[in-house]
Amino acid sequence: MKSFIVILPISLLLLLVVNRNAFRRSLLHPLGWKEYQKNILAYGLRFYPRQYLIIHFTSVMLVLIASFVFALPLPYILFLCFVVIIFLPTTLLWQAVFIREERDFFMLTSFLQQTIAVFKSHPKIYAALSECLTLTDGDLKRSIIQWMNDIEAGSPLKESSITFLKKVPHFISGNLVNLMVFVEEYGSTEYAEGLEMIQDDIDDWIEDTYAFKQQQLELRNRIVILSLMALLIAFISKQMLFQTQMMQQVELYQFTMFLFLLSLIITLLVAQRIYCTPWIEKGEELWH
Amino acid sequence: MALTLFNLILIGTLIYFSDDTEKLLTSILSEQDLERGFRIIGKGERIPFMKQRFAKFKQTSYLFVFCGLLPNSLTWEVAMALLCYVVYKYPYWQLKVAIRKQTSLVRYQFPIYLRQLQVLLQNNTVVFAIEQSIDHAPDSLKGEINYLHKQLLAEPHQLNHYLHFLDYYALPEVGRAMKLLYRYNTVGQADSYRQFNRMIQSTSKWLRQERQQHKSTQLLIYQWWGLVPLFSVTLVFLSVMMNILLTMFGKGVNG
Repeated sequence: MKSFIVILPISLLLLLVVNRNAFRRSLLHPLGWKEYQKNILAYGLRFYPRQYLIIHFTSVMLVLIASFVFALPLPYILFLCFVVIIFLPTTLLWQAVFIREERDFFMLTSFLQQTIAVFKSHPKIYAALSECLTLTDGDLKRSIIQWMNDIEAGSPLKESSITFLKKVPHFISGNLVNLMVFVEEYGSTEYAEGLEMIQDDIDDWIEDTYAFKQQQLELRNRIVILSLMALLIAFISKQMLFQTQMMQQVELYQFTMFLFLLSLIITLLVAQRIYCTPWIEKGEELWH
Repeated sequence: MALTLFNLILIGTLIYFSDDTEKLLTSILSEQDLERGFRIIGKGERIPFMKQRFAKFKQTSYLFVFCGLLPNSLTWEVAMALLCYVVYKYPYWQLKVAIRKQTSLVRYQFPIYLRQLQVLLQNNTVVFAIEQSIDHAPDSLKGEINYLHKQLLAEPHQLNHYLHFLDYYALPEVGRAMKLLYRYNTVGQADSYRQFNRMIQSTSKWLRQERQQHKSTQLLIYQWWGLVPLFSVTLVFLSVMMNILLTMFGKGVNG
């Protein structure tokens, strides 16, 4: 037991060194909440201090309850609490990334769909952009305004779209811009089919991405349920041991319980990480 | 002693006839698909690659000297032979992994490129559409598209240029798409319209299939994480059982 009391602070220090960023935005750091607030605001979301503290309090309480139920000694309890406090802001940020990515994805796809619809009836890029600008926000809106300004300034149509394509380098947006530029520059009567093809691509893209995100959420929920089941089995095992009053190897029991709870916390962290992957695949971004 | 002597003779022969052995091994043990592999990953050549493998194999084989001196020398001899095999094969296995990665990337990005081409074909000829597409083509295909374009500029109606495009990947879908592209380039207006529509339909299906496969591969790694809590609870259960058993045997059954 004594050796673990030495090992635990050392491993905690190592953990902090390895995950310096996670530590910097955790409550253990004096300015941690400010760093977290900065990160959240960078994602365009609001920071609610009360909610932030309640989540921390609830998580630590859950760890404390589990530790007391499984009769862990204080060093182990402290270690588990530190791990939770260090990584909780990071998992909350993953949630923020998911919300931001989802919003950006649907904003982009609805902008592209609307642009196609407007361009179909009146094949002028500037008119289509100005009509669909209201659907956008943030960086996307800024890149479209830049595109429109460049057109106004008289730049060639293809060059003026560069800012937009740098912001949205997906092949579908590249294809749409290419087609619109060709139609406006050289004129064509059979562009509707090309636009429909791109429209179909967008529909498929939305459907596939949404289905994938649903799969990710299902997987996360499955992992959480499995973790809860594992907790229940561990509780039954522990009750069985205590009822027989045959416990002699207390240290072994406590150490395995500690490892079990730690693995559960890590698994729940990984489960949160699953759906935080980008909504737009890097392999489909070609217009860098 | 006999084994040590045998090993020494073997290593001595390997050193003395180093060049001949290397040539012999290169010709006998060289894998069939090396050339294709180097072409796919875009770097490396067969001879330097084999030389490097042979050098590592030779260095590892020196360890055979110690086998005869150890207890259970025959077992060590077999283990050392296995080690030599692994050392010899490892670069090839690495190459195979790189080929598989590159092939799956091409399989994923080719329909995307084809879609780019189809949009450009709305207003351009095949050769001009290919030329226009080069700048924003996927990196994995850029070199080959450039080469195809140069060949088509010289002979736009030559079927072989289309058929040889990415042929070393041995992907039937690419061959089919290139044949459709060739037909679109050569047949008359009415026919070409039908060909083009067929190509669009098959590309849509292919694109979705590859995207879904790509995404499900991403999920595969995380699916294993679901087993971690179950594995750790099994350990907990075993430790509890061990605790009870130790207590029972410690006290005696009646105790």
